[in-house]
Amino acid sequence: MAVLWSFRCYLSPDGTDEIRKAHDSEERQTRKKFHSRLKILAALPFEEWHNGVLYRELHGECFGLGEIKFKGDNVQQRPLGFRSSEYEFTILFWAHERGNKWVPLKACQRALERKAEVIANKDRTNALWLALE
Amino acid sequence: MPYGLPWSEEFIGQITDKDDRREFVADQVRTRLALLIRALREQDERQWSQTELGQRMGKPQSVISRIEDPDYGKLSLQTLFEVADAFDLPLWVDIPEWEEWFRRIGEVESKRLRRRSFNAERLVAQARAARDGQPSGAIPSICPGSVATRASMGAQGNQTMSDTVSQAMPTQPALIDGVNEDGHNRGYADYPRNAMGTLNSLSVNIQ
Repeated sequence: MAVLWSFRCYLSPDGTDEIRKAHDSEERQTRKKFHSRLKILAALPFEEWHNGVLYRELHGECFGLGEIKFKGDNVQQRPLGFRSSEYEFTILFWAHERGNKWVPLKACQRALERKAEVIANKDRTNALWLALE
Repeated sequence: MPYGLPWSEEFIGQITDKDDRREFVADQVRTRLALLIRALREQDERQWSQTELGQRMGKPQSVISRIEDPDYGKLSLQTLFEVADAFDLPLWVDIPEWEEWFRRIGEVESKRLRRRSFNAERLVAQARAARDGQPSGAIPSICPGSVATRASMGAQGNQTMSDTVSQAMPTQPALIDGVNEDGHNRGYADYPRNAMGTLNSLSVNIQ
């Protein structure tokens, strides 16, 4: 399997990898499903991410973001991010979805704020800590 | 990572815990299966909607939507028989060694999930080519010593995917697949075989 993509994760101003922190607070099933889904996405051309099953581009107030979609521990997990270069995806915020609402409600707003920080300063991201091959 | 290996030391280090492995394998198998069914349905020669596949299986569109959902964890073996039958493809259920599983599970691109339906002319032409010693007709045999009849599998037809995966763990991963489009089962010729010439992993081949 060819790994096409690399993933990066948002770092807070104090250097904390916020995605890893959120990941580590989840249960085992969610953690390993996240690992599994990134491994699959990493092997797929972007047009095959767009099937709405594994990933979805967002609109409206979330425009400019995409969500990695999976269900872990009976919760809809929605790590939010954006395509930061041709074969690089930066994960900004680990959100959840419950009853068609974001948890937290301002998940998109926070992700977009982080996106602006990352675009202004690429040092505010870390390479994904999980090995995908 | 050594050239050509689809896993690294770092990756293995992240699935050394048996419970982690179980969850990882379950999601990989379910997701790949969902992508496979979708890819078969959307393959150029078919371009079926979910509704059309459902009609061929005698199921409503909502069932097809569910079986193409990687998060749906209760797909039965019987349903897989019906899906494969709708595509006129055989079903392949296997409990391979890890090396083989890593090699095959990563084939998720739609172009690698294309499969041709049964075609007697094609198969006969391959058989004739093999008989006549033409290299193009050399189709490797698949698990000659481990063929189960469909009838014998039918007794377990109410097994679910989660059953299958949990039975496969912890010592072996699970692979559930159709046979590759080219009929060659990429790489199978290289798989380890025992002294009897059969593959060193439990295989069920439904013709």
